[in-house]
Amino acid sequence: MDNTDNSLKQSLYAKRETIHPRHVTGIFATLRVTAVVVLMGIYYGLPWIPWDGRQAVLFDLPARKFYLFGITLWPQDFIYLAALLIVAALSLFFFTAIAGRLWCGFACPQTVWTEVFMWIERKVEGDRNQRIKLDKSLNKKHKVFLKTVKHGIWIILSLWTGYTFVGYFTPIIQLGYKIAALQTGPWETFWVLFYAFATYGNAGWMREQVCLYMCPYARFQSAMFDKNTLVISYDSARGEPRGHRKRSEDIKTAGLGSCINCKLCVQVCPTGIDIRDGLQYQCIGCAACIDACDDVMDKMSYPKGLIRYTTENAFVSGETKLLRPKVILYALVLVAICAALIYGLVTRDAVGLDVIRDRNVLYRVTNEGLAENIYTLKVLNKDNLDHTFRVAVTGLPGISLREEKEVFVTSGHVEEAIIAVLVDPVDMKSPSADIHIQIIAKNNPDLNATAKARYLKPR
Amino acid sequence: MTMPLKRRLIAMLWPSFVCAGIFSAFLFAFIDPLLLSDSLGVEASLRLAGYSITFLVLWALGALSTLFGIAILKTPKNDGERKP
Repeated sequence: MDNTDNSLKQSLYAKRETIHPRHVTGIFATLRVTAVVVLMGIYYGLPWIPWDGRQAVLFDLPARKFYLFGITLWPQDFIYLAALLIVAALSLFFFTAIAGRLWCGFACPQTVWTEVFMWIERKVEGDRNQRIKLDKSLNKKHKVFLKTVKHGIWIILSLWTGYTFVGYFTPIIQLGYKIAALQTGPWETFWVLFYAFATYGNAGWMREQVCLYMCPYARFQSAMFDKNTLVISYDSARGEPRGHRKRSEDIKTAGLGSCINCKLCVQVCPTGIDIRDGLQYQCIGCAACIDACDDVMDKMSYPKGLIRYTTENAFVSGETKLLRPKVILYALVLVAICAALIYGLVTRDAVGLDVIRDRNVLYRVTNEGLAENIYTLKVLNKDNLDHTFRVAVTGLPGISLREEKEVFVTSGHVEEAIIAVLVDPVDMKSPSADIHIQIIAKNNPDLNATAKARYLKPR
Repeated sequence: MTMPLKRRLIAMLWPSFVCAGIFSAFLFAFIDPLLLSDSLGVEASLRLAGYSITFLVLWALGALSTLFGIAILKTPKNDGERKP
């Protein structure tokens, strides 16, 4: 094992030292705060939006129905959920190929909640230097007080996060009443506390360790990178040799580069790395160091961009190629799946039919000598209106229903109906045959569904 | 393979958690937990309990599998027997 491997291993297994990132302002910090506000707004706000007398977004697990604004999805529509997940994954690949770890720095829940938790920490304990001082402080009373306040606020926010999370799966308003009356079910309580604990642990305690040790994306994202991917880089040609200097000093005569070695880029880094050592897997692309360095460059009256968002190619030749085969391929597949998903949702059958054979009695022979098979129909009305469906059978000569059947199904519900299908056994060549059972809405023949079923001949 | 307890815990609990989530979602897209408990002969009235218990069982099984994996990775050979 060579040295680099050893040092990597050591850093991976070393005892963690608390990182106290310094607060930073600038264009990327503003972007991140905007992203945090928007994403948190969506997360905490979405379950409260009403729609047609119900919650607009509700993954109603107890009732096995997913509501997404005007759409109601059933377990049978699982394919749409799968397609949605594929779209999400492909978008991640696409944006990673173009702009690197954009997801990590601005949109990942880990980043977003950590940002909120750090904001609380800063409000309570102060910025980096005050926090370091507090950690070393011998004034027990003051320290315990501030830490208690911080953890108290964290825990309250975590519990609210857990409540919101469960509110996506069970109506949030009723859940609120149940919590207020201390009458939540055991599993609701469990999941609120579980999610609260995960939030508190991940955003309060684990922070960058989640990115370093737990995140699968961090391990395979390099596969999507190439020399045209945007990364955060330190311009060492311009920066080195680094060193302290007076503002008035001319860097050319002093033989110095632009880097004044103020170490602010290290202090603001949430994962505690030095970007001047080159691109590292720990870098989550949050661009805090860019903001910090640009600020310093301004103060020194040097041009900005000593640390900047750029590509390897831009460094070498000054040019970045945006449209490369990889990016085009990701985009094409993404568009294709999105189109298929939208087409599928728009043309989705509004009626579903499941047929289950009666398992107890395979067949019966009636007094007239006809064969009789019994089926249970499950008629699913995904339309927004109530409908009465007529049942029809086809597929064998002389096939008929013992009695005409109509099924009334209210919007968004399933009704069961039992039908008896009659066939003259003389007309059946084989011991069993496929028949087709169809349901047709009485007021709208376009609303129909057909299912195949097995018909057994008496032996 | 010496690994701090924290890292071993992460390796045990985290990937199995993700997989248990995916498996549960997939499983229950096709099977109603009430039917599942019926066929197991268990008295159940709440779907939420069905989802939760299945998820936790899958999680525990996954964690157990990783624990097994970590255990067999620890061969005595790795403890400095071979020196250059």
